[in-house]
Amino acid sequence: METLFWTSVLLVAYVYVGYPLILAVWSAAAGRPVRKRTTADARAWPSVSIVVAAHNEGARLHDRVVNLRQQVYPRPPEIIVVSDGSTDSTRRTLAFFRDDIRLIELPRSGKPAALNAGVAAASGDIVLFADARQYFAHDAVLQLVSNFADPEVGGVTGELILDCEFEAGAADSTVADGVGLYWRYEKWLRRHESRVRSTLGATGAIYALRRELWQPLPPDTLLDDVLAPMRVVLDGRRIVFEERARAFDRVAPDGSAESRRKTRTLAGNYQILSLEPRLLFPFLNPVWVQYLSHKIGRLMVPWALLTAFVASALLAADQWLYSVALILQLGFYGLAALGGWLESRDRSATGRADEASASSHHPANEPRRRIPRISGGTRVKAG
Amino acid sequence: MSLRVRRFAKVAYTFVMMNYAAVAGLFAVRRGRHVWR
Repeated sequence: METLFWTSVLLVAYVYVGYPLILAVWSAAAGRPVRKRTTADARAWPSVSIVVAAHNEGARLHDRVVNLRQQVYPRPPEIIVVSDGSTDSTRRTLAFFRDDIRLIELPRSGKPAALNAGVAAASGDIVLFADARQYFAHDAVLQLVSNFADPEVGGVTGELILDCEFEAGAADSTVADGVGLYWRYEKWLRRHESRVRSTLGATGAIYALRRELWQPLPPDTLLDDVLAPMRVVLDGRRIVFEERARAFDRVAPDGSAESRRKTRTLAGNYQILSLEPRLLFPFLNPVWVQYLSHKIGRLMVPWALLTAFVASALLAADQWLYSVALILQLGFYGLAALGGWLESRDRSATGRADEASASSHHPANEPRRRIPRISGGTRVKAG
Repeated sequence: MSLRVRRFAKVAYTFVMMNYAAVAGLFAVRRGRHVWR
């Protein structure tokens, strides 16, 4: 029982503290820089196809397409919108753009099928995946694609900035603060994993792959933005993190929405093990240590926490050390309960504020979210 | 309630939620639930 307790504690400590420390030292000692393209010659830049898979996003697509068409890039990207069984105003909205975009309409098939169709229709050397909801910084495409000058790079993931990171009080809730902290921690890991060799997936809202490396996704894939990049890594290439390629999003407004999203993400991590068992073998997976520590470790942590709690409860009567451990754990979970209560209270307060201020709300009248001014970036003259 | 306590409470809550989601995710996969993002 004591062995179980300490093994569980060490597992949790390694996943959340030990591995990040090792990663920091590893990236400082053996980081691999990426060769980037900086030329102004448009012919040197690869052609890009932007694929947006959407289901009933008619209210957002107009602004989204405008945002994509305004991207600074030497060669105008091809924009492909795949409508996955949309029953709203999607077609009518996109008709405004006529020949500037390509619309593919599918019966309801799920996002993986939509992405497969988008990539099959794409003609660019690089396929860039975007969601309907987020906004890109004006040079996001440029910053992403500049990394493909390095032949080792098979894919690039950009940075997703949540509004809780740049708008103080934008989502004034426990969830926003917690999600913001979680995101910063994840991005820190991603940055260092990229430097060492490769990230362990991509941000679905903004990532790009070489089209030649795309492998059609199984129709029930939950995490396209992990499976597709990891297949590229298994084939010997890198997925790198480009922090200057920015997309902006709003954090889920409440704990239940965030909880559903996380549940889907973690369900997807389980599923990927069945879709790509190569990930579990050190001689097949070039990032086996990172994958085991970051992805598999996260799946094991809840069971370790449960084991540690039960073990310390059983041992507490015999040894003071385990009594202290039990009390600390109870204190921690009590604090978490307090955090949940704060979130619930914040959500109620937000709901009352929304009721007081709402007049006639229609998605078409929704004011555009403020996007922070981006400084720097590179303007390249086409031609 | 001090800001520090609030901050720790929020972090603890997020941590517990993440681990709850890991367990829920396992059962979701076993039941074959699929969610469009």
